Amino acid sequence: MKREATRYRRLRLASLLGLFLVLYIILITRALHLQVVSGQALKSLAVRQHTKIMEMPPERGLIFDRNGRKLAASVMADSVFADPSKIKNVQRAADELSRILGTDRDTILRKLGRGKNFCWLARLVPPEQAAQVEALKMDGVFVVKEPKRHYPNGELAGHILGFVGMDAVGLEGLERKYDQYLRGTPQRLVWARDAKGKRIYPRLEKAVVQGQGSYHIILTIDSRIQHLVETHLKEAVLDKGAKGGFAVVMDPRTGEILALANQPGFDPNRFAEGNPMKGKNRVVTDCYDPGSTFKPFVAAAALDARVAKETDRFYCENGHYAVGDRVIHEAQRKRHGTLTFKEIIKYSSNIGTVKIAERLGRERLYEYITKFGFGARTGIDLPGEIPGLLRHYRDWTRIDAATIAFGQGVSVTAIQLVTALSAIANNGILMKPFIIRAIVDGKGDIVREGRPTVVRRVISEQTARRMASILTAVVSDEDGTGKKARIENVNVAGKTGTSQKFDFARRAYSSEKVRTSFMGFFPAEAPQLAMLVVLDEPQRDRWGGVASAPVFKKIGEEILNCYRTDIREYQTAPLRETPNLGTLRFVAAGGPRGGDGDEADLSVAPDFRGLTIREALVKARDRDVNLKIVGHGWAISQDPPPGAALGIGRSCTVTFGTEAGS
Amino acid sequence: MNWKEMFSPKGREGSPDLILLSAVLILVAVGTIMIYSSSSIMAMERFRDGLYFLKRQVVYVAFGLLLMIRLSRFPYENLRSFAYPGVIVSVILLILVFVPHIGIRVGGARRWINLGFISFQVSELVKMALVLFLAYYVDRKTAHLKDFRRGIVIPFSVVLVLAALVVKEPDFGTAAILVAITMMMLYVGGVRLTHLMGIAALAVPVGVFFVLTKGYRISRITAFLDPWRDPQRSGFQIIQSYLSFGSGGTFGVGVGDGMQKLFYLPEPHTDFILSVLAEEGGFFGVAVVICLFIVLILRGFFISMRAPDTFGSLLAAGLTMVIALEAFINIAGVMGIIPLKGLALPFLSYGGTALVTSLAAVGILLNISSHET
Repeated sequence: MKREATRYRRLRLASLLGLFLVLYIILITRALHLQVVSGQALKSLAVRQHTKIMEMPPERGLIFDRNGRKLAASVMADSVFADPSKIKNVQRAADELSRILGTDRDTILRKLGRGKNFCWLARLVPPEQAAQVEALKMDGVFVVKEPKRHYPNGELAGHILGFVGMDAVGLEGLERKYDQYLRGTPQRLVWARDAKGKRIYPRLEKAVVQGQGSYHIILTIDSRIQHLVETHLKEAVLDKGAKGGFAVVMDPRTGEILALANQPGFDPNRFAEGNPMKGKNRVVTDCYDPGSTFKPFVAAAALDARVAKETDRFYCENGHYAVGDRVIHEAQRKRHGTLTFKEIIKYSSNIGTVKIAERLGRERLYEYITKFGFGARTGIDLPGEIPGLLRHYRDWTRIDAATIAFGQGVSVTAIQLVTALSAIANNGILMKPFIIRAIVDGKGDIVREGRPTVVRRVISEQTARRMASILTAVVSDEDGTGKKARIENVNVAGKTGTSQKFDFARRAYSSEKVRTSFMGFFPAEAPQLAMLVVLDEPQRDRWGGVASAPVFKKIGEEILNCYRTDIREYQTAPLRETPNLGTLRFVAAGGPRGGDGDEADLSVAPDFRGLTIREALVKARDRDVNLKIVGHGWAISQDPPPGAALGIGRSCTVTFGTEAGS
Repeated sequence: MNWKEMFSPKGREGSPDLILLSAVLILVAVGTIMIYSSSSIMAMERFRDGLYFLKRQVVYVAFGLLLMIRLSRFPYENLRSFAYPGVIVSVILLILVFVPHIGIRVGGARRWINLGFISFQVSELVKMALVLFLAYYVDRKTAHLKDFRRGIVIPFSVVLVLAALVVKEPDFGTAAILVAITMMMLYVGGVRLTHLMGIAALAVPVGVFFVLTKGYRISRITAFLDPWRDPQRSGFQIIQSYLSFGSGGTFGVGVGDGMQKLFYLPEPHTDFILSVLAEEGGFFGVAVVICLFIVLILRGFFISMRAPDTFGSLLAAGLTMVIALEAFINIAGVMGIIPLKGLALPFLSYGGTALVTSLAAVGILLNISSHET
C-alpha cells in the first residue's frame, strides 16, 4: 500500500516536473527569439534612445581678397535667450529686458508666454547690452556666445560677398553660393545619455568623416582696386544725381574679376536693416540695352567677316534713315554725311552702324553676337546670373535687325559686355570670367582652383588688333566721343554708350531715363585691364562720353599711379607652396611673392625659417603673431607656412632644430 | 572538514545534493554581481554611495548562507512541529502589516513589517509556512484526501485566509502563487483531479474579478497584449525590457557596460535584474541562468522523489515549486510572455527577505537530500 502510494506520487511529481521543464524551455526559446532572432531591430531602437548626436559646426570659413586681405570673418557675439518656466516675475522681466534690449515690451511678453522652455529674446546684440542683461542676474534669462559674421571692410565688395543670416546660413552672394564650403562639414559628436537625458560620456562616431572643417575662399578681387572703383563710382553717382551705377574691372587675358562694384552701396554687416534688393549684384542679375557700347562688336564682326574695312565709306543719310515704317536718327539729332568705317565708331553713328550690319547680314551678325557671348550666361561663379535677352535672328523684324546694331532690342548684362570687350582686348579670345581664385582647406591646401579658361576664339587676332586701334581713336582723337577717358601716357581703347531705357508705360524708348556707360581697356597695344562703368539714370550729363568716361579715367589713372606705370608690378601672396600641387601660377597675376617684406600683408604668416628663437620672437611681436616654439636652435619649419593665412588666432607654430643644413 | 561533512548531519548517512548547492551558489554569485552592476549608478545618485545596495546584499547573502547551512544540518522531520504554528504566526504577521508603525508602506503596498531591529517582507515567510503546513497536512491525512471535505475544503480554507490577507496588502502575485502551490501540492499528495479541476474553474472568475477591480492590473494586461500602443506609459517597462534583451544580442555588451540600467529600466536591481543581465551577458548569460534554474528544479524534484517519507517528499516538492514558479513568473514577465507581476527573481534580485527565505528553502532541500533512500 505504502509502496504503491509512493510510486503514484512519483508519477504525479514527474508530470509536474515535465510541466515545469516545458515552461522553462519556452523561456529559453523566447530569449533566443528576443536576443538573437529579432535582436538587431530591438538593438537599433535601444541605440536610438541611448545616443544623442550633436553636430558641432566648424568656424565658418574666411573670405580673402587676392592679396590675403580678410573680406569676411566670424567673430563671437552675444545672444540672449530665456527659459520662461524659470522666470519668477514675467512682468518685471519684460520691463527690464525691453528697457535694455530696446524691444517692445509686448513682443517680449508674447515670446515668454508661449509655454516652451526656450525662446530667443535677441540675437547677436552689442556687448554692452549683453553685459547689462547679465548684470540683471535674472533666473531663466541667459546670454550665450554665437558666431556672427563680420565684414571688416564694411561696404567693400558687399555685393559680391553677400551676407549670412542668423544661424550662420549664407543668404546672398558668395556666402550663399559657396555656403557648403564656408560652412564645412560639421564634426558629429555622439553622446551616450541616460533616461534622464544626461550625457554619460562622449563617443566619437567612426563612420563620420572628421576634420574636414570649413574652407576658406580666396577671390580674384583686389581690394585696393575694388576700393578705388567703389569710391569713384559713388562719387560719380552723387555728382551726377544718378539712381545708381555699377562697374567691373577685369583682366582681359585671364577673365579674373579684379573689382566689381554696385551703387548704392551695401553693408553686409547690416543686411537686416536695408531693403534686400539693395544687396542684388546688378552686374550679373540685371540686363539692359547696351546702346552704343554694342557697336564695336558689330564693327568687329564686319571686319572679321571681311565685309568692310576701316577706310570703307558709308553714307549716313544726314541723320534720317528710314527702315521699314521707322526712321532711325543719330544720337542727339546729329547729322552725318559720308563717314568712313572708322569714323562711324568714333562718332558713334547709329545709321552708319546699321549700314555695316546690313552688309554683314542678320545671320552672320547673330552668329558673331552669340560668339561674343551675348544671350548666354558667362558662367561666372557668382549666384543669380541671367543670360540677357537675344532673340534668334529668324525672329528679328527688319527694324530689329537695324536697331540691334546700335544696341537696342538686345539686352545684355554688364558682365557679358565687359567679357566680350575683353575678347577684343585679348586678341580675339573670349575668356570665361571668374571671381574665385581658390578654395583652400584649413591647412591651406587647395581643394578647388579657379583657372583662366578659354571659351572660344571670337575674331582673328588681326581683327582684334584693328578693332583695338579703332577704339583707341575713339578716346585719343580730339573729336572722339570718348576723349574724356583719356589717360596720360597710356593708350586707352574705349567706347561710350547711352542706352535709353524702355519705358514700359509709354511702350517706347525714353530719352529722359538713360543708362550712360563707358567701357574700355588699356594699354591698348597690350591690354591689361578692361573696365566697364555704367551710371543709371544720371540727371546731369546723360551722354556716356560726359558722365561715365571721367569715372573710367579716374579709376584708370589711380590704378596706374598706385602700381606705377606697369600694373603688373602688383603681385599676390602665394596660396601655399604645396610640393605635390605645385605653386599656383596665374598667367596675369605674376609669380608668387613670399609673405616677407616691409609692407607684407599682416593676415599671412611671415617667414620665420632660418631665424633664431630670439629673432623669431622679435619678428612675431612686430607682426602681432602668437608664436608657439617647439625645440631649440634655428627655425626649420613652421605651420602655417610663410605666406599662408594666419587665421583668427594669429598663431604660428615654429619648430626649431640644431642640425646643420636642415 | 570537506563539503560533504559540512552539510551532512552528524551520525547520519547520505550526503547533501552538491549539484543543487552548486547551482544555487552560482545563481547567488551572478545575482550579486548583477546587483552591483545594475544599482551602482542609481545608488550613487540616490545615496551618494555606489556600493549601497551591494553592501546590503552581501550581508543578506552571508546571513542566508549561514541559515542554509544550519537548516541543512537540522533534521527536517523536526520541522513538523512548526507546521501549525507557522500558519498561525503567518496570519498574525499578515494582520500586523496593517498596523501603523509596524507595517511599512512601500510604493503603495503594505508588505513589510518593521520589528525595530529588523524589517522583512511577510509574504516570503507565508509561502514557506504554507508549504510546510501542506506537507504536514497531506502527510497526516493521506488516507482521507480523496474525500472532498478533507482533501479540498480544509486546506483551501487555510490558503484562502492567507491569500485574502496577502491580496489586501496588495500583492496579487504572491496570492496567486499561494493558490497555485496549494493546488500542485494537493495534486502530488493524491487529491482527486476532478476536485482540483473544479477549484481551478472557480479560481478563474475570482482572478478576473480582482483584475477588473484594480486599474493598474488592467493596464498591465493591456501593456502585455500590445506594449507599443502606449510606449511612453503603460508599455514603457516591458518595452525597455525588450530593448535590454535586444541590445544584449548573443553575447551581450559586457558586464557593467549596459545602458538600459541608466534609468531606462525601472527597478533594474530587483524585478528587472534579468533584463540587465540580458543586456550585459546576452543570450548566453540568460540561457546560463535559465539552465541553472532548470538544474535546480530537476534536483529538487529528484530529492522529492527519493525522499524517505511523504512529508519530506511533499516538503521538497513544495519548496522547489515555489522557487520554480517565482522564477518563471519573473522571467516570463520581463520577456513579455505573461503580464508583469512585480515579483522578484529568486537568488538574483536584490532583497533580503526573499534571498534569505530562498536560501533557507535550499537548506531544507539539502537536508532532505541527505536522507535519500
